[in-house]
Amino acid sequence: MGVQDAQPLATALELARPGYKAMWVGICLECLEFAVFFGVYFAARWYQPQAFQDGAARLWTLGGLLITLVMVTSGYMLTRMLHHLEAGRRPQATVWMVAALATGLVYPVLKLLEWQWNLAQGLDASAGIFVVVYYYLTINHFIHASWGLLGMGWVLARMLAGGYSPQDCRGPQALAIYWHGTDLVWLMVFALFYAFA
Amino acid sequence: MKKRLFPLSLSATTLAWLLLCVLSVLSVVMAAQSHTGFARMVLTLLVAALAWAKARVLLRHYLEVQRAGPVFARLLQGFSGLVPVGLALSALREYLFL
Repeated sequence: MGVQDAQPLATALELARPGYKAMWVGICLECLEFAVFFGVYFAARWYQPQAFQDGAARLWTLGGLLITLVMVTSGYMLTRMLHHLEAGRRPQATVWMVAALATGLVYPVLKLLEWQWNLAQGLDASAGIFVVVYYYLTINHFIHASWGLLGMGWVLARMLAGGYSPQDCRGPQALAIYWHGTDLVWLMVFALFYAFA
Repeated sequence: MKKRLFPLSLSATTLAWLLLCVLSVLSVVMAAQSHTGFARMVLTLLVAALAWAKARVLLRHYLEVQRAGPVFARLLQGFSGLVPVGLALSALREYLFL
């Protein structure tokens, strides 16, 4: 393949890619960051296996499950929003965007309830290595998800102000990519901490 | 007019969402059973497999990594395997040596 052939191929790939290339780079970096955090988890588990085997039973399993359902459901709503936006159906897209944000906002509420539950059970930073690593990963995830929620608010405000069209929906696509990336990280966190009660 | 076999046909994304919800509930239900020794190791392997399956569904139907280009697709697919592999290795080590 010559240089002349490679150029249109690269352009076609760029056009087919949802969102912005920078956002894909961003979520890969987010994954790299969490890969390091997972390394911390497995290193701690290597030296304190019993603490990790017994640890999950101390956590609020239902809370973890509910957060998972909230994350995947708001992510699903973002895919429906994009589906309608790309087809030029702005009113339906706006309804799905409102639903995605409203569902996503349940996540911080559940986190607050979980932290209250934890403190009532005595699960603070002095409760052992498992709990420290659990707070380390889940608070970091909470920070990343909060940025996603801010992004949802921004996209919704722009949609209500008449922004975006089928020809200009890379911003909402980039938001969805970020949220799904955060969702992917949560699925891993869920398997590490909550799925062994 | 041709009649639809399933009048309420579900899109692939909707099916993916349902699958993610069902697999998440299944992980918790499985792991909620009391377990030690060999049973614990098998359950850990199953939970790791479910986490990997959920990540694959999310990558394909939510993120659509196949449209993102081969480099991003491989990086994200590689990331989705880290925790399942780590969990499986931890479970095997803890069963065999501890």
